[in-house]
Amino acid sequence: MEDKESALLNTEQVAHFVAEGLLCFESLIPEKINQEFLCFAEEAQEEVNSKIPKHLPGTPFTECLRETLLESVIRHPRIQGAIFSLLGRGSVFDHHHVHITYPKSMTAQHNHQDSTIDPREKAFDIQILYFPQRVTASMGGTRYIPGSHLRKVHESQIARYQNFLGQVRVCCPSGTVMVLHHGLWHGGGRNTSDRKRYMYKLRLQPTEKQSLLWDTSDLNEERICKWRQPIFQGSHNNQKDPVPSILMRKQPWFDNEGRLELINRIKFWRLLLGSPEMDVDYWMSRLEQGQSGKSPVKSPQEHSVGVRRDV
Amino acid sequence: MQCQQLLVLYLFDSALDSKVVAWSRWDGCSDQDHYAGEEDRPPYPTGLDALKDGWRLIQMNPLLPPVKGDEYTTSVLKYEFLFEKLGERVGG
Repeated sequence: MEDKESALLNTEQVAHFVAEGLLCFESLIPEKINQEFLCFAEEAQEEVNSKIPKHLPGTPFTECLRETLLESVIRHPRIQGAIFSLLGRGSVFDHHHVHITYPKSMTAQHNHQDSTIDPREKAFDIQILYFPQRVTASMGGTRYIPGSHLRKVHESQIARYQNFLGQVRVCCPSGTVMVLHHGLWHGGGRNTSDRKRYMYKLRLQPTEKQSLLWDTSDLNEERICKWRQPIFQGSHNNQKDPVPSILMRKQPWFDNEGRLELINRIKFWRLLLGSPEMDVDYWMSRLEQGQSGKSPVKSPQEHSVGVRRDV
Repeated sequence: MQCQQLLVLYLFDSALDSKVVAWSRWDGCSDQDHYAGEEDRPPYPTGLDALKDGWRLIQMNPLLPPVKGDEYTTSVLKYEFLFEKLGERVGG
C-alpha cells in the first residue's frame, strides 16, 4: 500500500489513543457511501450479516472487503492510516458485524468488554466502528467509558455497573468512524426513537510489534526526555508539548486506582514507543529506582529509543 | 407486598463519605426500570449522603491487600457499597 493512500497518525493522536482508548473521526465518510450502505442494510434486513463478505480469522487486512461498499470505509486514508499506525501494515481480520438496534427497544445493552479476558501485555487489537447515519440521543448510540481499556475484566462481568461519571453516549453526524482499543468498556444504548440504528464493527489484530508505526517525524529523543518531569507536572497544561498532559489526564470515574491507571498508560506508551525506560512524570522511575542497581533516570545523552536524535 | 429497592454506589475510596464515581439502581417496588448509561449525575454526591437519606447500608467491599505480582493490574471497581430501602410494591 502506498503511503499517499494512508494518513498516518501523529504522536499526539497516538497519545490520545493511549489515554482514552479511542480516536473519533467525525463526518469522515462521504454521504453517498453512507446512503448506499443504509440502502443495502435496509434491503437486507435481518439477513444483512449473511450478505457482508465472509472472511476467515487471520485473513490479511489488505485482502478484506475488496470491491465492496465497506472497502470505501476501511480504506479511507485516515482510517487506513490509523490502522497502519496502531497495528502496522500486516494486520489481520478477526471478525466483523453489522449491529442493528431496533426502534422502541425495551432495554439497553449492559456495559461489557468484548471477547474474553485478554491477558496480552505486548499487543492489542482495534475495533473500527462505522456509523452510517446521524445518531441522535434518542437512538441510543454506543456508550463507552473513556480510559477503561486497560482494565482486565471478563466480558459482562461489569454489567452490574450502570452509570459512570464521564461516560459518553455517541451522538454523531453520519459517516463518523471510531477506532477503539479492544478493551474499551462499552454497550449499546436503548433506542427510544422510531428509526433503526445501524453500526458496522470490524475487529483487526496485529501481526507485528506495535512500536513506532505512526508518523514519528514529530518525535525525537529530546522531546521524549522532556516528558520526565517532577511528579504531577505532566498533568499541568503549562507545557508547550501536549503529550504529557494528555497521558496524565484523569477520568471523572477514576477512583483510588487512578494512579495505577497512569502507570498502566505509561507501560502502554513504552510499548508503543519501543522504549522500556521512558517515563512521564516520575511514576515508573520511582518504582524502578535501585531495582537493577542502577538509576533508571537517564540523561538525554544516555537515552536511546530508536527515533531520530535531531528534529 | 413488601419489596426491596437497591442502590449500589461505587466510591472513590473505602470511606463512606468519599465521592460517588459510578452507580446502579434496581427498584423492586415499582415498574420503573433503570438502564445502563441513562444517568449522568449520581443520585448522591457521597455514600454518606445516601445514608442520611434513609438508605440502609447492607454490604461494603472487603479491603484486600494487593496480590503479589499483580499489584498494578486494574480491573473491576473496588469500592462498592450496597444500600437498600424496603417499601410496598406499587403498580403491576
